[in-house]
Amino acid sequence: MSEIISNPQNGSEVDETPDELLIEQSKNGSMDSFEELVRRHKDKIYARAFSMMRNEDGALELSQLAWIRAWQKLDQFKGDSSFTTWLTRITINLCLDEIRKRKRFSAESIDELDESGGVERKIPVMEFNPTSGMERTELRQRVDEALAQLSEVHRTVIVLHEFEGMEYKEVAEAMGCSIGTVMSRLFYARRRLATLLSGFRREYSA
Amino acid sequence: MNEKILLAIHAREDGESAWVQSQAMESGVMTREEMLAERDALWRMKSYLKQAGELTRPCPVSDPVYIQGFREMFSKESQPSTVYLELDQVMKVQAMVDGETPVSQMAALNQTLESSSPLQSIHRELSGIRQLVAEAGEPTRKCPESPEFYWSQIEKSLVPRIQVRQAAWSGIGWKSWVSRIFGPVFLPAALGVIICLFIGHQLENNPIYTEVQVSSALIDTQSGVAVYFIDDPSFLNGALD
Repeated sequence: MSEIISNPQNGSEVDETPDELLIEQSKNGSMDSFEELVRRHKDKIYARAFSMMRNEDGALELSQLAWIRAWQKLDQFKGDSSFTTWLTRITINLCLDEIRKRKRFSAESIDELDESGGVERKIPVMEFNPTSGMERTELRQRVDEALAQLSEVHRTVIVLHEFEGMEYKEVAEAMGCSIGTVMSRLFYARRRLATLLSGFRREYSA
Repeated sequence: MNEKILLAIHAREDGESAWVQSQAMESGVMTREEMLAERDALWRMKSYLKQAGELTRPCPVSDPVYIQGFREMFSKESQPSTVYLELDQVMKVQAMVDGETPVSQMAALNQTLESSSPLQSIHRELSGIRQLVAEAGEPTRKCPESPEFYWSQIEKSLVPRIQVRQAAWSGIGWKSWVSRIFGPVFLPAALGVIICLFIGHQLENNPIYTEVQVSSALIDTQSGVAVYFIDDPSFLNGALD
């Protein structure tokens, strides 16, 4: 049974039925329950798709497709992880499929050649001193802008490792590459971020 | 005046090589007076420039400030690094920063790190950027479409779950059931049919039975008894033998 209560802040009705119950009801064919799940978690799913694709239309389309896939596969959800974690993985897989379709995984830049290990085997040492007096809001914005400037593979590896908390092995499975490639991509992505944010640091201190 | 000759004169007065002069003078025509006049004018110009010299412009900042600026510019990331590390070593340090170093390798890696200043720099760099990204976190983004419109787009593509289950029995389902039930017996059945056809063909060509002429028959369906009256002489002869 859905539990509808009134929101004291804006007077709107809030459904406080737990996710687990909504999922069970959805498994039994209740589209209303599934719609409530969509309402609750659509921002998170959209945000994940956007952080990977960096494109509003693409993120909307892929996040909606993720919900459709979730409806189709709902019987497979056994509750081992949270519903949003499960749904986020579906979204990530769809985004990775889309990126693969664009064939941008194959040597999209010099960075790609470098990270394959074939060109650059020697790594120069850099000094990086982060968070020197940055406000968190501004810092978040700058990091987000820097992420937007990374290549798709570099951004993906940062999103999966840093934001999704995946281990190297999990990232490798998701991206369909070796652990060594993941480590290499992660290193170059971080180095690129460090360079981009060093520019900010100079600008900020000036 | 011929431009090529003028260039040749300038080249000679500037001390350029004979080859440059000859290249400049190639196919040019000029009188001796014209050449001497040009040379004099050039000498005068050079002399004036030498006498005037370049204006001296003092540096607008004091020496200590200038030197400090130079030092800052030359330090840190703007300074081209002369220290290079092996990629494998760097990856090991990164794994350490990410907490993915196997326990068995931890002690050895710590020891290597302690003795290597460049590796410590890499460790600081990677820890720093990791910490920075973690501190910044991911920006919260709101879906730009209204909940109603967003849902309506999804709803259009959802097949009601009950229909999906029915489809498993009706639409796609019957094929799988047919194949599931008849699949295992299909091959032996097909082989059986082929063998029967083959044997039938053989029998047709070489019958193993004898046709007999039956004149009449009495069949009692209740008792299940049938009596045939045979008047085939060949059969009867054989039977009597």
